[in-house]
Amino acid sequence: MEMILENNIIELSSNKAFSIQNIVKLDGRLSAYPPNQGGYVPLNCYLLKEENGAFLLDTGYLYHQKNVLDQLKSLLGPDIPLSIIPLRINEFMSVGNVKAISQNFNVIGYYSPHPEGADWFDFTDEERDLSLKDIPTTIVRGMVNCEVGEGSGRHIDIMSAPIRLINTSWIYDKSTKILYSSDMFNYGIAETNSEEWIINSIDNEISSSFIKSFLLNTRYWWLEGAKTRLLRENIKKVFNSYDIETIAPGYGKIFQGKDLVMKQFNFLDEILLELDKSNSIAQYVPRNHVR
Amino acid sequence: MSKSKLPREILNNIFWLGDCLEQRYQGKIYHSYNSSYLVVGEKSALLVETGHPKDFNELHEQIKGILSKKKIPLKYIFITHQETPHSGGVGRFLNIYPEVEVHGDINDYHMAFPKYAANFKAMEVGDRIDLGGMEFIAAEPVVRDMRTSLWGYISPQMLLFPADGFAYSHYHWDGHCGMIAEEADSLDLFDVSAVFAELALFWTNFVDMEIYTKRMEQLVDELGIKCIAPTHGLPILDVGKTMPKVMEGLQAPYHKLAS
Repeated sequence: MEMILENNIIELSSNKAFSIQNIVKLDGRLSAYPPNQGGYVPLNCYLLKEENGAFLLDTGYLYHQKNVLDQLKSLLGPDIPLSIIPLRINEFMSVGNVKAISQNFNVIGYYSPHPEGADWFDFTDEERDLSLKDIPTTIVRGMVNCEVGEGSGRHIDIMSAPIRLINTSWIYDKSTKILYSSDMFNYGIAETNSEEWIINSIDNEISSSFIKSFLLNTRYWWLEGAKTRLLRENIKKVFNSYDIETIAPGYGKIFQGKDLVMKQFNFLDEILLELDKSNSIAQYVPRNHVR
Repeated sequence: MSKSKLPREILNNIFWLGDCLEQRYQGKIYHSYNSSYLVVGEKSALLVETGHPKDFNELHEQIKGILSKKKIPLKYIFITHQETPHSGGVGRFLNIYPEVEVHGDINDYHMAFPKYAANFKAMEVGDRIDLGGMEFIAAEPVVRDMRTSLWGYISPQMLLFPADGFAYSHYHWDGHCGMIAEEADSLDLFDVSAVFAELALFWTNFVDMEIYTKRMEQLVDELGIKCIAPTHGLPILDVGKTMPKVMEGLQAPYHKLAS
């Protein structure tokens, strides 16, 4: 089945932040979405750019390799120093094109929870491209602050995602007020492939009950009856510490506008409270149990 | 022979393959496995898990060495889920063995390995693959690392492949690399299982895992499982002796957080 419907680039902040999107039709074959979910979503990589340096957050699936390379070429010269941060190093969507991008751009660094980033990115050709091992890895554990473009003064915080299934980073960029949330807030799904890929109206149709069901049917099946207090506290810290105007998830529509951002936080906080063991009974959840 | 002392035939015609992954925690160097297992039937061989991307050459050498002696073709791969330490090697195997069928939950693979989309065959709990003299049967994944995880077992040996379900590191400094769990006398199974769960299975910090460990015990009873071949832990040949310690460790992060 042909999955590529169109590819987009959205400029989230003038010449500073771009969403590199490839749109897919949901047909039950994407692990980030419930098995019975239809509609269309963008798979989002993000480019954070300054004159003398850039960061790429996630690299997309191999399926979209040509698109991603073309999209990047349209935004970035081949000599600009580029660092790559896969937000979920264990997932193909994050690391699928690290190798191709490293071979086509001036990649100067990887950010990874593991010391040898290059060991995690190369799984296509018969032989490894060992030249990737020459690209240094910055280890990401806890909070890491780094600068986009040397001397630009634009700093981003890389943090361990406060709610996650597998090893996941979130990133906050103070200069653009964007939170990059990886596999959280992924529930902005389009009914058709011609919709806007940014939500900026607070009166959208996404409901708390839909988000709760979405979480339980994707990678958060375990939340019902869990001890969610600490999760809520840590998520709250992020939203209280940073001035967030845009939530930019790895999949799905982007949420733009301070009130809309706070609405998503409140939805999540209320859902986590509802699912807390003080309000819900934990039960064994078998595979493919859709709620 | 690799530095991890593999391959090792843990049961007749079932081989433990792979290499250790070094991990540092609180000043100590722990090793854990990203294991694969090769099951050699009378007609065909099946590889369970394709290993960490970095281990492909090592893993492939181990497999070639075994299959050239057995004169049995590699026909099937089963992968438990879509994380790269479990399935990262599948593209390389398909480059070399383009006729091999890859079974399991097939979410994402058409996007990750589009050239080989037709090789991936969906399996559900209870589906079987006949290897000749032994069968591989898909099983319920009790402890999942993704919503799409799937386990399996081999009959008649009743050897369970639980992916991340029995995940724990081992002490390289005490010579545990290549050992069966019951041989690693100095390994504190409770402690290493607890540490692995806390760090790698984030959700176990927040969920009272008793409901999952009970289901695990039921599953082992229902299927009549006699041995366990985890991806990250040492193989378990005495389930009655070893499983309770690992299950206790799996429950530890939740109780630690509560205290």
